[in-house]
Amino acid sequence: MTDMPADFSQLPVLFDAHPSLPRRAARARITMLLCAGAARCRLMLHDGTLKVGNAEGPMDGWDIALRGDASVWGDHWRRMPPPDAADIFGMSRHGRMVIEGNFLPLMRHLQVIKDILALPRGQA
Amino acid sequence: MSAKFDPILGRYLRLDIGGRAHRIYVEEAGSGLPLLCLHTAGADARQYRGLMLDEAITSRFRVIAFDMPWHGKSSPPEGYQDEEYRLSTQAYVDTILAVCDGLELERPAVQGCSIGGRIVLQLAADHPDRFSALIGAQGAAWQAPWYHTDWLHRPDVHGGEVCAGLISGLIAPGGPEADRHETLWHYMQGGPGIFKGDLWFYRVDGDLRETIARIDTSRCPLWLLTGEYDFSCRPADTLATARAIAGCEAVVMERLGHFPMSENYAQFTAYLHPVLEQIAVNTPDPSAL
Repeated sequence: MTDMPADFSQLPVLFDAHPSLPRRAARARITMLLCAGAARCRLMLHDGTLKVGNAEGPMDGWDIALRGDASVWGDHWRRMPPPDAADIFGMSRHGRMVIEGNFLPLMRHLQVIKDILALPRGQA
Repeated sequence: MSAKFDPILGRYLRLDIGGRAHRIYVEEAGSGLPLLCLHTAGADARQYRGLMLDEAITSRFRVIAFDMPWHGKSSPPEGYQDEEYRLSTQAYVDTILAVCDGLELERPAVQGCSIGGRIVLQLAADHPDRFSALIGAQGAAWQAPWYHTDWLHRPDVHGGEVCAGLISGLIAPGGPEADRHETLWHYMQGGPGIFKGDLWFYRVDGDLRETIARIDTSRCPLWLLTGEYDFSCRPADTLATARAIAGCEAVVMERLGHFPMSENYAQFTAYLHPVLEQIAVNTPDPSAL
């Protein structure tokens, strides 16, 4: 089993501390596979709650995967991210991230998901 | 805070475009050389409020911005319910020229952003004598697509929210939060399928890589300005276009993205003011003639 990336594990705490996010995500149901190099986890956003789980169990499915090196997530979370790491689609456009899977739940809740994935920005 | 009006005048202009009657919403501020501003795809003329409130500009320029047909307060033409909106290169040029004629603008300068930054290249190629100067922000002759436009208009995804969610990544981080969110609000308010219809020009009908060979900047000067955080019209796209046009000046703007005039106007002025200064110095004021 791969250890859960530390930064991803902070997402639920940061999510719960942000008063508008549970409201904005109240109708979202999406499971994302987040990869930072070899480390991976599943981020589950269901009905206004956010949980992080392992991704190595049998039949641990997901809707959409975001795969990048640890460095691109680190850059994404810098207080002033560089132009090639400021947005998930920008990271894809610059060849630093692969986004694949079922895009429908992502596009239905795109902004709140982007905001969740950027929560660690400037926390370091 | 006491109530006060912004020094901006908004009116409706009735005119024909492509043989159809339209009622176009036009805002303006200032006096002097006319500076016609073209908004981005899926948005409206509110993006130019910063320019219209900038006395350094309005003291020398008559800043004019209009909502394209189907956008903002310019309702679609009669019969719209039976057609799909698609912006073509020709329709876009016809609209700009019709507004210039309707307002009786004598060789205005034009500043456009995104699709507006692209269309100024067409104006430079085909109508250089009708304009005193052209500025394309986030403009390039062509750039590769980075998402499928079908996501912008489908019944199972909220159109306004997905339009804003997609373009939010094109705004540079670190700018004023209020301006970022107002820029997004403009996208949330677009009509169904309108952003997608604008992108028909951007993605299908508006490949200007051959057109730019006809541009003669000695007849009409041309500037291209692109934000470093724009991954849609990337700095490399703009610089490649500028290299193909003799005499075209290109600048990559720091800490700005795809919406420089609305996402962080104060930062934009560092790049816009010097260009407008050159235009003001080199262009006679029509009111002084």
